Amino acid sequence: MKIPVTLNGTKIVLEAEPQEKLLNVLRHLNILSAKCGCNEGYCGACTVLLDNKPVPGCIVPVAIVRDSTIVTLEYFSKSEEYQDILNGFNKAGIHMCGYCNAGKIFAAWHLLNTSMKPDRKLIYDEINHLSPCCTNNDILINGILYAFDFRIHRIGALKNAKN
Amino acid sequence: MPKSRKSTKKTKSVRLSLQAQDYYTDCSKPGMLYGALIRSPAVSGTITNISIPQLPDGYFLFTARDIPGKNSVHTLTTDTPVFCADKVSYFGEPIGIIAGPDESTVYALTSEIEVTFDSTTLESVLESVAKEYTRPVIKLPVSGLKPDSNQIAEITKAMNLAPVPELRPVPFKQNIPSLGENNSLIIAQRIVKTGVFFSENEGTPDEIFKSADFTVEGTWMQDTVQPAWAETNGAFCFMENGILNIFTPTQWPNYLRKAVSVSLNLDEEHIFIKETNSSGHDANGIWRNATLVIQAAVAAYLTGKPVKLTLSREEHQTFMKSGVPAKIHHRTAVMKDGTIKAAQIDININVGSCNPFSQEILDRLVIASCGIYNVPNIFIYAKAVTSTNPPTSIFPGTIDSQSFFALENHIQQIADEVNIQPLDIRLKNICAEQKEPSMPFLFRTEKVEDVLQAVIEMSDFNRKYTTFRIDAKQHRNSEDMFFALPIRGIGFACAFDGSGYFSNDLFSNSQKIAVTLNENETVTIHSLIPSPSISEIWIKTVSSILKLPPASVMIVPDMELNDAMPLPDNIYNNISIMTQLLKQCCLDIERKRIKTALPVTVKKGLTPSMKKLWNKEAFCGVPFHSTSFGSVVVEIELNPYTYKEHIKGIWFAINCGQIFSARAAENTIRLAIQQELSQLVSDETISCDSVHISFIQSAANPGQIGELVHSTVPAAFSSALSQALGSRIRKLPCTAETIYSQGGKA
Repeated sequence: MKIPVTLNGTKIVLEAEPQEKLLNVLRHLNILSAKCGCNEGYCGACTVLLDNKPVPGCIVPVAIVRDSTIVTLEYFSKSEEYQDILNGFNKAGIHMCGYCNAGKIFAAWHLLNTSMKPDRKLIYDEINHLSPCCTNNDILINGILYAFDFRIHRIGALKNAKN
Repeated sequence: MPKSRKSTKKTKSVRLSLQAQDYYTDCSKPGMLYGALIRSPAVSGTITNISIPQLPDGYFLFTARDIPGKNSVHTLTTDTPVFCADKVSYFGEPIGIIAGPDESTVYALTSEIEVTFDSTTLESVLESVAKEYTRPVIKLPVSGLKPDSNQIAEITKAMNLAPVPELRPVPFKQNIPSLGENNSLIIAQRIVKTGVFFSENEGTPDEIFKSADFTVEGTWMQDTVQPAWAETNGAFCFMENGILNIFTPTQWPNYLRKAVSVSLNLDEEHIFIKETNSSGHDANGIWRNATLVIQAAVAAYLTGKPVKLTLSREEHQTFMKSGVPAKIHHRTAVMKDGTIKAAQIDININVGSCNPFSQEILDRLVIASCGIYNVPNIFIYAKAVTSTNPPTSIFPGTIDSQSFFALENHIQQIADEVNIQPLDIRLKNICAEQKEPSMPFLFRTEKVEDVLQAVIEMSDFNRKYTTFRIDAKQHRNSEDMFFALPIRGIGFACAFDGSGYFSNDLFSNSQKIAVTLNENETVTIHSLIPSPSISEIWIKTVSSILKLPPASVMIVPDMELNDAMPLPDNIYNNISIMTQLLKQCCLDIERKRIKTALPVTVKKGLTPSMKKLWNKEAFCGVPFHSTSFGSVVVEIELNPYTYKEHIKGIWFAINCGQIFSARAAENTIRLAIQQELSQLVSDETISCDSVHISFIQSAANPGQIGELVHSTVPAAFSSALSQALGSRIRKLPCTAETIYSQGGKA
């Protein structure tokens, strides 16, 4: 089956069986930031942005991504928003293992884009399902709050520069 | 025998030419084949033939007879086959590997493999076969069937016609046959006797129990549950310029290289191993990973193509369990004031078909079985038995946690039966510093009472415990369905964690570290790379002793040390010993730097006097180089209708010596608690409102931290749950159904 998508800013046609998992299709394309974790859609290791929403690639059949926009961590890591998140995580002292990065970073991105000023409880609810392989929830919440701070400063600096 | 490995120019150049990946599942090369294992569907029987009707072009089947060298992996004193050659010894034992370019096709082909069992064992094969297996097919022997075997033929035919549900099927639904202890064999045991059990002149054990005010008995079981988020085990192997390259999450590369060399009949110099990251805290990188590596390496070596063998999640969880299930029975003679006069402890562990570390696991469970308590008369009988389950491994981080689970729950049971506060019974029986210990094991624990008091005060334990106990009693007697909502319970547990186990000769001979003060006033620590938090501690230590900025200190992997490493490298993550050795190196350098021209290098290892503290033959003395001690309180709340558990708070007090980075230490504990909460109830992560941590400072060397969580939280959780339910929880992990049914009974 041929499935046209925009993958990391490039229009391509995926060739796969319709029931095949999006995760497996991406990994066969050597996109390795999405990893196979629980295989049930909750641990976050396989997260990608599908039409600007974080989804678990391990439970998404590739047929339903037709004409969608898919962004993986490889592409997202070139953005300024990624840098805000990374700075926030670094400030909180987070050392990610490399296996769960996609889940944690895209969860942070989702919060950055859906909340103006989230409280710890809201962030906790958003990240609670993620795998506790390397980072505890408290430190991850701190990292996300720092990311908000970095983002506000960056946007503020941009506005000041324009003025 | 293979030659010992030396780092040659050839292997070094290969190392440089490879683009290292963090995880083996991320590795690939053009022309790569995927591997899938064919596993025995039965727990016993003798295989006479393995075949496949027709393999498509480019697909390969390799079995035991294709192995170029020895079909065996030698681990310490144990030999296990790479592929089962004839006699199946456990359910799911690998009997071959299929390799091919398409992953789905490879898995589909495993369903078409035909396994012929010897006619004399066929009946037992069919009796022991997993009910819902999907692969491979069992084939009847061509001849030799008994005349009355029509029924067997019909069963076999029916089973072979079972449809394959999906391309990458669950190999066997988790209906592993029972432990099969009828055919079990004791492969390790340990007996410890003191007081009346040792010398009958002091009275008989029966008299002690008869004269005691209470005899408290209980059996406790804890089985480890692997996290479902980690990368599954496997390997990526390929031949390049005559070198076999292996990418795998091994924790014991020296052993792995030897094992591959023997099975492939390949010189060790021609084997390069890249240790990839291992996600999660599973320990199958110690020895069980070696079999998988050899299976993949055989396929890569014989086909000349890169081969990646990745276990499916179901295979990993079913066949690669990291710990061993333990069943521990306590019988205790207790006086009215809470003094424990005597204890009889039975420890049984089931190591599956084999475990090369059985004796070490058993010994550590025995040492921990009485905890920090001073019991004048003890009799401990511990045994490790084999079964028809898959082989098991060792996980140094939680090796003795099951003993603490049993002991601390039992102490709670005593407190309930004798009607004494949990803290009081512990204080009554702990081996206080001023008391003459009667225990064969001595621990260097400090400030035990301070730790216990701290956690009790932080959590307001005594008040809550009494209140919840009264609540639970009234709840049981009340017919009012709205009584005392919600249901609450609180539990308390403590444990020690020893680092630097002296009983292991290999271990105590291999603790080494080297430090170099370079000409440009930078410092290089030559060691195995420790975890980020330990690295931070080491850098701070060196920086403060040598009065240099932290940025000038770096840790480099010592390849010589790595290559010569006789034990798995997670055993080397031994903060206490290594930090002490590091300090000694720095102090020596500080003395030498004035007189000697730079660079100055100092190497240190364990001294003979340290090793003499433990009497290996008599199994007594000081077993650990240092011991940290922790105590935890868990407060739980149950929904009165669904009995869904929720933790209101966890309070943790710990004495782990010097704390160099409180933030790193706290993060380690918080992470360990979060991981533990995902393992206590099957398929659930328990939510927790708050975690409070208190460090009791001392001048002792830094000790282990995270492991204490795994030794204390399960017992405190089950005590709290037992109090809330009014019914004792004796087994972990428990299930939502168990909690609901026990709650309903109460």
